[in-house]
Amino acid sequence: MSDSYRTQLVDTKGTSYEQFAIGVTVASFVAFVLAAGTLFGWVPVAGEISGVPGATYFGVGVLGLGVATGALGAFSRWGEAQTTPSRSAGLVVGVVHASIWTVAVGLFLRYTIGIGSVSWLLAVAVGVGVGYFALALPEDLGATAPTAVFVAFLGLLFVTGLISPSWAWQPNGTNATIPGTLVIPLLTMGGVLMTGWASASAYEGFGTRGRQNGAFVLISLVVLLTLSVLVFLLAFVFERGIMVVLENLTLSAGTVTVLLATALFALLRTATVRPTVANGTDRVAAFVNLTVASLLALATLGFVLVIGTNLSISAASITVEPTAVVGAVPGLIAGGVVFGLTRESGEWRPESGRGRSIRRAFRAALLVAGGIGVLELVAGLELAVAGIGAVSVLLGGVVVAALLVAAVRPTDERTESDQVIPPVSWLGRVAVTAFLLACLRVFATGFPVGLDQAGIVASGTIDWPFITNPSQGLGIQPGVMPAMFGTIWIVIGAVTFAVPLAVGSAVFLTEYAEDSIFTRAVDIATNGLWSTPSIVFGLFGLAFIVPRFGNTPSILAAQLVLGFMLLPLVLITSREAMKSVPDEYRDASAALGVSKWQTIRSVVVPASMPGVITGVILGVGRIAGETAPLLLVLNGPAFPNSGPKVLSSFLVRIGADPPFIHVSNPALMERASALPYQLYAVITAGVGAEQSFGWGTALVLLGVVLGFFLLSIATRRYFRRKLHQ
Amino acid sequence: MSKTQNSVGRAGSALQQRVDSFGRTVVEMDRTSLLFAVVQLLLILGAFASFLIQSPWAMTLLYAFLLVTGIGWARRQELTAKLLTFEMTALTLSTLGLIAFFLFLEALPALREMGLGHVLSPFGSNQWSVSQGQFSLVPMILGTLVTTAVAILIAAPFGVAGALFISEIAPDWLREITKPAVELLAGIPSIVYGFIGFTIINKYVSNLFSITPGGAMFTIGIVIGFMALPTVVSVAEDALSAVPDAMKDGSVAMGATDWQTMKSVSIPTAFSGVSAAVLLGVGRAIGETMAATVMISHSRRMLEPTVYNVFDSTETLTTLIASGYGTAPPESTYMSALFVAGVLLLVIVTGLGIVSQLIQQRMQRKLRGGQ
Repeated sequence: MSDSYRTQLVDTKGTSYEQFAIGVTVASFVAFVLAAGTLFGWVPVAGEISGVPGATYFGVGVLGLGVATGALGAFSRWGEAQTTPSRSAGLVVGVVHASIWTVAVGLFLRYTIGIGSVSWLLAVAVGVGVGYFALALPEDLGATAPTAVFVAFLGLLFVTGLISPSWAWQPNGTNATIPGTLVIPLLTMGGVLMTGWASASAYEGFGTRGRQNGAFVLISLVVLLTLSVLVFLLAFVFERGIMVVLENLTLSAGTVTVLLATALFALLRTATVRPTVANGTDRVAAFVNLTVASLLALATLGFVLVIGTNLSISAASITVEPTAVVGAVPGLIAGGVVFGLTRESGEWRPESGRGRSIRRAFRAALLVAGGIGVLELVAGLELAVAGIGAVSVLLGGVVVAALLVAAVRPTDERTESDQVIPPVSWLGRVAVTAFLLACLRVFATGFPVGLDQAGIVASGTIDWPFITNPSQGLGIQPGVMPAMFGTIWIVIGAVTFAVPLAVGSAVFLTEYAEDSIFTRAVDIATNGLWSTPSIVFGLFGLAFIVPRFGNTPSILAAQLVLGFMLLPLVLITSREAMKSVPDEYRDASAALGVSKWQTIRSVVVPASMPGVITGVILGVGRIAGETAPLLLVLNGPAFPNSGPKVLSSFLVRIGADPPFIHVSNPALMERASALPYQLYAVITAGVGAEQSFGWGTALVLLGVVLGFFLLSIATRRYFRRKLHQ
Repeated sequence: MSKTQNSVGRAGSALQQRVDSFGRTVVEMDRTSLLFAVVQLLLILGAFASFLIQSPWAMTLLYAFLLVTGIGWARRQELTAKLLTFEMTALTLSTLGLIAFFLFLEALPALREMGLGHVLSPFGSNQWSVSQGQFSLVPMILGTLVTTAVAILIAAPFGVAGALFISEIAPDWLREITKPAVELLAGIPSIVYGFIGFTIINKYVSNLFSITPGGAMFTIGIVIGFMALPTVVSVAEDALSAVPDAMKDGSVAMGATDWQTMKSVSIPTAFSGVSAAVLLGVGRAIGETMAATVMISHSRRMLEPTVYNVFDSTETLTTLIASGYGTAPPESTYMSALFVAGVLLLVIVTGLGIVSQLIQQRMQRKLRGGQ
């Protein structure tokens, strides 16, 4: 019997040499993270761990990694390891080693040993020697040996205490002292990046594949660590700000339940939650969706439980009241979302007379409810007896009863009674409509619907002081309401100003204009505008817009300036979107005898809408966080005690002087605050200002801006999926 | 020689053709349309001009324009739409000109009073002193140079590495996550970086290096570098993914590894695009305002003891404007000097942006031509 079946063609387990190499790579990574941790103060370097100085641990680790890297090279050259090194490590590696050695030896001789300027001459000689060594030797030695010796040398410096935490270096020509507590981690990070690279290269047996592995590991490491710094920043702001933002938040469990249930419904309706049927990125997204859906379901159940057990929750100054009261505004939002999502379903066309009369009865009830609401709004008093509340409750009851009947009825009998009992989806839609009507009525008239414990009320179900309070006032918790409204108005104004202009220009450039000096000039101008610094836009506003609109910084000036900043971004994205509309669409439309403008209006613009919308959302995200121009053209009070009242201060006057109809809005002409400006105000207010308020503002600002970005990414994904269906 | 003449002749004939076709369009239009078009154009031009000279007639003309456009929309929609979109394009085009013109107009008094040499030459007194009427921008230019140099040392290598990672190394699923993540990070408002820098990083760094608190140029450069990073990544990534797959496939088919393909095909082909990304990053770093404004010391002097001491703090061009506008009286030389800084920024950064865009376009044209 042959035992050849025991031998695999491809050894997937890896040789012990490969295992050793990957061990060194992983150890290098761990050492890098630990060294980075010292910069954040998570890992002690100056202190002692069980009697041994922290720096010594680093020294031993680095020394070990250096020796291990050297061993990798030696095993490859003289040992059993099956490697395929090239003849030379290559010019790049040689030059990098030469420069590292030159700098290191030079600094060491000059400052640690202390021999004068001769040291640099010596250092260059050593560097050239090492470079030659790396180039001339076979790759496995040329790549590992200089690294190994260098890193081991670093380790020795730390172990012997030549560079200790208390060691310090004052570079010539500066006023700074660079302490050992910084130098040790930095040198460690540099050294272990080198050993990580060398060992990753050794893992693939050097040669071309080895070099690829080394380079990829090095690049991936650097990129992931850089990204993690940025993500860490976000997490840090969140950690600092979240408790400030949520302070004294009071919610009614009913409202939360309705909102959560709506979110759950929307998620299940629009996104895929089955990881098994998706692949690639969709699978990742499906897992995320599934997790979010489960969490939402759990949370909803939890809040229902809160209502059921009648126990209020309060944790870390957040309170959830166990009432089933729903606020009118959250109710409207939730109802609207559900209504929009069920748009395509819920048709019922009964053929029997009874069915038709049932349908008519439901419609009449809705109509009556709506009519009563309008009547109450006009008359300004509550028609308690025949109020919309009663009608809504009645409707709700009927719907629930019908749902129950539909549920308990055996399925095989359904065919006959289908004509009388409406389908569930239609009933659901009626219920949502009734709910929306009730919410609308409460919102418009202010009279509650239902009981004290369960019903719809006008306000008070969400009390969120940080969002709804002004930033200054007697005995109140400061909030960001004025700044929030400032940002909202500025964004609205900028979008109204810039988006039509940008889309119109994009239409002209892609559809009407031929390639000419004019279009090229517009191209250059838009790209120039896109890269113009924001502070320059601010100066432009100061010189051009402010003198023409009341000679004072104002919301209007800020709207225009930010509109000018939004213009190039929307123009560029809209143009791209219109260019990517296939010419077949235009040709097909023209072949039907449709005129050019009609084609643009009904084919090109709708087809490019996804791109335009994504561009607008992205642009809004960018300008919402813009601060520098606002300093110059908005420049409001640092801590305003009221928000801008734009809606209520529109004035229309008819006069004899041109232009005869004067539309003005004093609130738009006033200075105001905005979210990023508010944060700047906190910083400049100096010592007295509460820093926690700043962290809260920063979190809200980040939430708004990143919310827009997430929205644009989601829109893009949504349209792309729709396109590929 | 003949080639130039040829191309000039071609351009001339193209222009001639366009003028001809425009003339034909005008002649072929009926009387009413022509009247509408001319009145509409005259009205919007009038409104724009009177807005520029701050005449009270601007509003009246604008209303009249809207009225005429409304009538035109109802009667001659085709023509009105074309005209309207043309006017929008012209307005967009004029924006950059307006910015440049008004900035320069406001900067003129300072230039006239101090002389360009005093403001920009590094061999003068290099002094910014409001009380003595000395407005040399040299310390600010030095500050901008130093922070930008530090920033680009961070943004360029890490940015290019990130672009390589996203476009060539990362597996598909990771790319689909990292790419939007980078876009997301580009959206973090600069004032948030500034707030973190002001409350945390400044103190940390001044403790670490035992220097006086108040925004070492080194720290500001690092923060700005991280802010410019996402821009470099996404533009460089665009350039790298514009390299046609056929070129890479050819290399791989010859037995080259992915890394060799990257080194000898992707990077050389996309080199101009990647350098355009770095240029754009430089522009971002120069133009960055808020983070630096809240971190820097605003001392407006040369760095001491040496001009390359990155641990000292002074002022940059952008922070000068952001911090000076509040104290500068309107119509003063001080205010005008701020506008000189603005003109400098506009010329340098917008110029960098345009150059970078031209490089990218040229690369893409070349790649398309090569296919």
